[in-house]
Amino acid sequence: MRRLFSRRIAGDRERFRLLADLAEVADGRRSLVETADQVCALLVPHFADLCMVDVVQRGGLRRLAVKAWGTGAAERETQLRARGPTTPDTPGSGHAVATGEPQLIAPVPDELIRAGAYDERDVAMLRSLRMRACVVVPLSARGRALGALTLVVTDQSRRRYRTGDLEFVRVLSGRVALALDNAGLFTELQTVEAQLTAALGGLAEAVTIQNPNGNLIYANQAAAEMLGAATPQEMLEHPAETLVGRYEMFHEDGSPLDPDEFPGRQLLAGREAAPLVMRAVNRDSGEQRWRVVRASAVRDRAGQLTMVVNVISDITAVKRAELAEGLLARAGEVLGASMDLPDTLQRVADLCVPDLADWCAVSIPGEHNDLVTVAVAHTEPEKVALARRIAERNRTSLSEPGGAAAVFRDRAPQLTDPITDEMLVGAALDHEHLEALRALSMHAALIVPMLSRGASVGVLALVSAESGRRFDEADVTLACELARRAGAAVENARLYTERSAIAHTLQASLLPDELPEMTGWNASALYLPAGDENRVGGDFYEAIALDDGWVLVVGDVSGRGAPAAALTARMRHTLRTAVLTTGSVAEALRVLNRDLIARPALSLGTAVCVRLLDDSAQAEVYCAGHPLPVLIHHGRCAQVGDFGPMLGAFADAAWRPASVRLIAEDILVLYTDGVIDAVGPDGHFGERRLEEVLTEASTAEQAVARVRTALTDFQVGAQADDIAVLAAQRALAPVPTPAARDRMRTVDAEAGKSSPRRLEPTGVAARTNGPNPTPDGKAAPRPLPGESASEWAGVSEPVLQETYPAIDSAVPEARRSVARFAAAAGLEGERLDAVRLAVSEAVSNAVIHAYEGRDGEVHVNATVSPRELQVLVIDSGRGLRAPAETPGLGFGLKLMAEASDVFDAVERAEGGTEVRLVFGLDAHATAG
Amino acid sequence: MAVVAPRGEVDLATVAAVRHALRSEEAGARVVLDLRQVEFMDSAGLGLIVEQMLRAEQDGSGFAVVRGSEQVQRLLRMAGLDERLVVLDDVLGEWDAGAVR
Repeated sequence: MRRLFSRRIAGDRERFRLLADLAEVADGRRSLVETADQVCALLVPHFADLCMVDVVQRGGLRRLAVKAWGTGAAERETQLRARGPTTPDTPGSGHAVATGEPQLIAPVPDELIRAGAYDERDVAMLRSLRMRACVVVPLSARGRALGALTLVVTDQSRRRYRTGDLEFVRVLSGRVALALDNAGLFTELQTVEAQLTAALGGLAEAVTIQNPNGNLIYANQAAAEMLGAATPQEMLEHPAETLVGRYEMFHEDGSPLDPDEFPGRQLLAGREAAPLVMRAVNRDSGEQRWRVVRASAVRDRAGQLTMVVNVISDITAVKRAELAEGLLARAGEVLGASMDLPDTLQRVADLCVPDLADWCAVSIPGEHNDLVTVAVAHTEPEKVALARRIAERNRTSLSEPGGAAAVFRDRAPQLTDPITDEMLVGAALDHEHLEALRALSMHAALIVPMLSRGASVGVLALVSAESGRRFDEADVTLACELARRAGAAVENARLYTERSAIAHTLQASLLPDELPEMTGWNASALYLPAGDENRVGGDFYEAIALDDGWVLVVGDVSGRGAPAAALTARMRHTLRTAVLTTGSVAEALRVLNRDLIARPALSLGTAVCVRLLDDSAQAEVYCAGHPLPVLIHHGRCAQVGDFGPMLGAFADAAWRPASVRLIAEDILVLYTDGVIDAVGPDGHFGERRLEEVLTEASTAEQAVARVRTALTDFQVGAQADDIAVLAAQRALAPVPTPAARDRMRTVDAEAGKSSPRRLEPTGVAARTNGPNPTPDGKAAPRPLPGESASEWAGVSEPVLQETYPAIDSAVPEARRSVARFAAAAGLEGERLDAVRLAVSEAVSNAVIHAYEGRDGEVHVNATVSPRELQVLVIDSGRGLRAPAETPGLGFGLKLMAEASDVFDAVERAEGGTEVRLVFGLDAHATAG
Repeated sequence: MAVVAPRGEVDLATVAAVRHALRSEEAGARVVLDLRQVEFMDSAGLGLIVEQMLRAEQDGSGFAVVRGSEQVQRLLRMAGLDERLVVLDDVLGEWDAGAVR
């Protein structure tokens, strides 16, 4: 009977019953697994020998139920359950779910088994089932693919599925899907609730859930505790407003927080909700807590908001530590940034608000044995003025028994909490003051001493007002630490400010308030003390009036700090007095020199003095170890003056004037070495750069301004040395004597014709090439500059260019020619003899050794600048030798070196030798 | 005793003439080079003086110079000859009195 029954597929009656039974299974009370098992039990063996239900879960298929019947059913079920569903590529449940189409496979060919099997063992297992036909139908409900139902008939029952069976299975699958769908929903709901309760109940973080109306529908224990309720139940029974109302709430930055800004309420209002960091102060206890509130929305399948889950974490401990750390770090940064006392004090006050208090006042001892409030900060800017007004009225005598005075005296913090109205009444000076005090609505005050090296330098008063917060122990510790650091900074700034004030006062005494009115002259000065204010400068400038003109002085003393300042003052005043009493710069320098030498400590100084005559173009430059002044004439610069010994070094030192012509519009620029020693990206500023800068200047003001701008642009880093610059220009319409007028005309006329000068600093390194001799090689001397040569010193460049045949007679000829040139440049006596000797030796050398009997030429070029005479003796022969076979002539090189100030000889690239002789010009001949 | 007294400048262009004058004196004779009228002298003159010093040493004759201009004296100093040379203030005088080695 069983055999017979089993050999045919159920008849119509049975099919209807099957559907009715399935409808019963779909009542939604069973779990998903129970439902699937039930479905299988109904179908096997009536409709199949083997039944499998696979469901879609987490993106894949999971085998939910397997049912077989007969001998070995349990083993087959285990095997098939373990094996799982087939992949979407091969016929089976995966494929059915993927395509959404039912499949009838009858018979089941071996190739199909092989294709769908995982491995040989799987093939063997599948073959052992001896499948005859197989129906796979996708299960779907409400448009959603739920899984697939697989029905198999085997050799066990020897039944077959036909097309009509497939149709029934389609109907059947609809019922099965419905049953599974209902069961699935039920299970999901149950699971979520159970999991939520279990998970959230034990969570340390506070979790609340709101329904779409904003009402609280769930709260865990942590939430109840955090928000001041005994149990979650109590929380749920109170309206949200009462809970929220227990706290004064603030943003992280101290601004008030509206409950509508909570992330949960944002979500309920349909907005995005970012995590919110907030500070809550309990209105009853004053306790302050830091919290982070996060909210996430739970939505149904249609995207409708069903609830909002809030997670609130208490970060007070973290925030405190972070705050303290941040505050102290910021304190170091902010307090170190300023050396200005009022600024530092304000920074201290600003630091404390709002992290530590609602407002903060800094007081320091005043002049009348009292504490004066010097800086105020408030969370609300508009209250700063009010707080400051009160603070200003409230000068606390240091002898008062309590309050800030006591904190200052005892160096111990004082906490006043709460501040009662009686206290305010007691402290108020009058009715108006009381009203003002009340308006500040102070709750608590913490006054801590600002200490420096154990002594009080002021007090820091922290007040809690609008926020209603209390100061706890951690606050007191933090405030004390902050005040300690502030104390050190305040003390530093105070010392600095004092010292700086002394320095400024001193400095002011070292400089003329401004340059005096100089009739017939335009003058301008610049003084830039080095960046560090504690260093009083050693530079000075001065313009001393005499009956017939002026003495300009720019000087510098060695050393730094106060001793240098004292020396500067002494130098400046001694020099001024001596100039005024003796009327002679040379004499004044000697007086100053003796004065400096007489001082017990080595006192060295440098100065450059220029004697200007109102009625004469003649000016005298005296240089005592100082950079030489620059003369700007018609847009050309030249150094003028001669170096003399520095001041304070040699008892017998004397200074001789160097004459310089200063005609209308000429500018003389005096400066200290701070200008040329200024350090920039490519080394020192240098004399060349200075001259380049000055070349364009057409007034004294411009000259000074250009130097200033150039230095600012050039300098890298802090200015290392003081800088003083003094420029004076002879005004265009002076009142000259007739003689002076004539001279000036001459100068102008000649200057216009002269060639650009080239200024070679003394001692410059050997060059590879010299000026070219005349190309034709013949003696082509240009007209000698004559008597006027010295007059143009610094203005034009007289040139001597001569070529001689390399024979003995060239020696005296060249020597005489250069000697005339040198004499015109102002050389005389021993200095002139030195030029003659050196030139004689150089030309002799060329004649004797360069050509060794061959014909050749000797070129002699000479140029003169205000500072030096330069002679070049050039041959194109064999080079410079000192042959031993000519006794005495070996002296030649030695004599050249000894007679000249700079002597060098270079092999020229094109052959031959160039001997360069440089002679410093001690004093200019003052012709005319 | 022979006295050679050049005038003017002693340099490469004129030294040959002075040398000729000195060498024309007979060997072994004491020679005085009177530099009083030399306006300028350079290493050519120095060479001449050194030559004459060496000669006088070799043949045991005497050699002296009469002090010249500042330029000449400075030159002798620079060359280090002033200490090794007999320098007279005048042609007549000490030297004849046997002040010379």
